Amino acid sequence: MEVTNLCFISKDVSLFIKNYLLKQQQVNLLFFEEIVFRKRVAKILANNNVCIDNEEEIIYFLNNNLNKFLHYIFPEINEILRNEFFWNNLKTFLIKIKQINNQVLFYNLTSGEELYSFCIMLHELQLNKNYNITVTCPSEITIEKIKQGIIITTAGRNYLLSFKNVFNYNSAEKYFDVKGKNINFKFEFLKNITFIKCNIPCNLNKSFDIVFARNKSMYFNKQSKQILNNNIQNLLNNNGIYINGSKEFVDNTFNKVGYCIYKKNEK
Amino acid sequence: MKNKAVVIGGSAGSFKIVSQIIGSLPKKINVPIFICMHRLRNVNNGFTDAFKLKSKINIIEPLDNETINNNNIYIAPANYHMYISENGIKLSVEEEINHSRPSIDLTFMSAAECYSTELLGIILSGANNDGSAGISKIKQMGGTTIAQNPDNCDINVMPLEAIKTNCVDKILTINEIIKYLLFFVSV
Repeated sequence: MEVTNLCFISKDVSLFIKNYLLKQQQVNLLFFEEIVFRKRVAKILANNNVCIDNEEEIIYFLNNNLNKFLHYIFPEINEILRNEFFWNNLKTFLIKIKQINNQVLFYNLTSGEELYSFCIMLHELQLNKNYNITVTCPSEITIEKIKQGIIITTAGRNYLLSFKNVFNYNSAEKYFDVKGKNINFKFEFLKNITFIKCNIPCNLNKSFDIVFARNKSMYFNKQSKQILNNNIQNLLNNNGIYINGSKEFVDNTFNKVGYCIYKKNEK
Repeated sequence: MKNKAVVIGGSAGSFKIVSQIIGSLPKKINVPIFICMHRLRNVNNGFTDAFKLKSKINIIEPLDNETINNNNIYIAPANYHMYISENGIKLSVEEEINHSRPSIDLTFMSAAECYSTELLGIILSGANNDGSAGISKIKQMGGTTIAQNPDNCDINVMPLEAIKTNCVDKILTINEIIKYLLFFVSV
């Protein structure tokens, strides 16, 4: 079978993989939205020269590359300051928050760009001392990549323009090391961040003032969206803030207080 | 899923054509139409509104998980891929395909799986080869495919790439496309 980045694995193979991971590896991906899962698995298998309809080859790959699989299965938000309108609104929102020692969680982060964008914003607003950041990631590979400040090069191409549009001037260079085609976020802006390897739903013995989960629920099937919603509810303090993507549905346990910014209802 | 549907893909030079197509549709069409166009990634306002001014039909820029209803036109949101599935519309922020997000190929391919023989795919003016793999998939699943006549395009790369796949059933001018579409949605 010809395999390209635009292939989909079959529904049967998809179910086989989800069941295998749950039973043999205790990794639950049954929540994953079917059509996106089928596309992403096909891409991962194709990139690793695994035949997308050979179950034996797939099992061998999964047994030896589970971490890699979990890193790539979740789509990445791969732009610095993706959706400038959102970041401009968040800037206004953060300026209004007087509280110090804010606990922020980046939920199920699959690449670093979202975190780097937030760190840039805190530094630009000189608020970095007021925020403690925790990051949960599905795999160790993801954590290592984020810690190294790796930015996907093709996605990084607009970062200077986005920076200008959000902060009104050009000085983004101080945040990045540019070596040829590679762009890295500088390590010095990633200090004091706690990384935790954790699958969804994640259970942490801690609650947060702000949870970033932009474009996360869209990979959940209808039944599982509620699980994610409840998980985020439980991770937030009373009146905590949930930040999501502009095209995601939020249930009535949250009140909208800004563009993509929601406040948890008090119980 | 065996109901009928239409997917339309376009890029540079296709905005005015899509406006013309939308403006020519009657109040009731009994099929959903999915439109995937390359657009500015950071501009959320104006694009869909411009189509709404022309249309007698409900035009929606879908949220994730949007239910698909006949007589609606769905426009792929800026900077999201738009999948068509049996459970509704799924959005995604996966990497760009053919330097594009939304990717016409992804929308066409997922729609082809969903609607198979009952799908009409139309590829319009544009400057890259996005959509040609999607056109092949529609044909492979038994659907009908149309490319805008390259001689009538502002930028003919996209229809030419689709035609090269040998999976295009009809090469039509914009007036012929509208005529065929009206026939398709009325049967």
